[in-house]
Amino acid sequence: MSNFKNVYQKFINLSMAVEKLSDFPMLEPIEERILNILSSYWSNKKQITVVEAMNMTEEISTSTAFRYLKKLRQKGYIELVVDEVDNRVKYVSATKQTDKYFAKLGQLITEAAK
Amino acid sequence: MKIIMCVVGIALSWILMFKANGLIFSHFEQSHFISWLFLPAGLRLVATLLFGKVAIIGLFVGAFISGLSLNASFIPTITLSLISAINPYISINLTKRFLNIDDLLTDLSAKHLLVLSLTSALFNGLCHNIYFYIIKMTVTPLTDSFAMFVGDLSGSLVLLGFFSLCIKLIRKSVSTENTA
Repeated sequence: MSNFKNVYQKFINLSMAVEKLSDFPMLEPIEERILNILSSYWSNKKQITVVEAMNMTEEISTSTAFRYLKKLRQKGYIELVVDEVDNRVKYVSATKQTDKYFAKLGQLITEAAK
Repeated sequence: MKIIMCVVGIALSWILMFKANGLIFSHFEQSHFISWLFLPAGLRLVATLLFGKVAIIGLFVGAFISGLSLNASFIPTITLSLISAINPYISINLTKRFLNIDDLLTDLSAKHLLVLSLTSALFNGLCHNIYFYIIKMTVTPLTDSFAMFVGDLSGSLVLLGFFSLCIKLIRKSVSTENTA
């Protein structure tokens, strides 16, 4: 018979797989806020370094901002691009997934406005 | 005791979902046993993935009680309930072995779930309709197999999609509460 000790672990793994089935954008509020601020830089075609990104708002402390930047990178919403001249400088850049995320939001807003 | 509770839970969920499917999607029904949208197929998949052999008993009991409520004959009801309960176990375990998914479902992905739903629906549709053909309950086994395949697949996907949305909305509301 099935080992019940494993059922909970199976449930977690199954729910994680199920969660990925929907393309509904899923970000935590702080991640959303950081991504929104970053998008304003990107839309103005400004480059932003990691250090600048950590200090771009007073709403979020630098350590928290750093932690959430790492999370966004793990989720594939941002990538780090090394400066061509000074390789100590890294820029926070958007990915294809970020474009898809904002496109999806735009699509949802358009549908809601209909 | 845990096993009995588990069996009862699966059987009850099956019966409720079977009834709800009949009420909500009655216009999708091709016959008593075949629907173009069959939500309990999703339960078959989830229960078998989580509970393995225990799910066979729960699904059998649920299918048997649901079958009796349709005033079907005793022997076909038992046979169909057995097919309905054992099929997902065989197809899911074969597919898991083929996709190298371990028993704890560690590397289970959304794609794997889609493949599991697909093979389970295919296997289920074929096996049921081979039996329907043998006992002369159908003269168009291929058409009915296709209808059952589509019903099981769409039912699994609708149910999994619904769960997916629920999990995301729950997580979203929890994280919003934590940051508020």
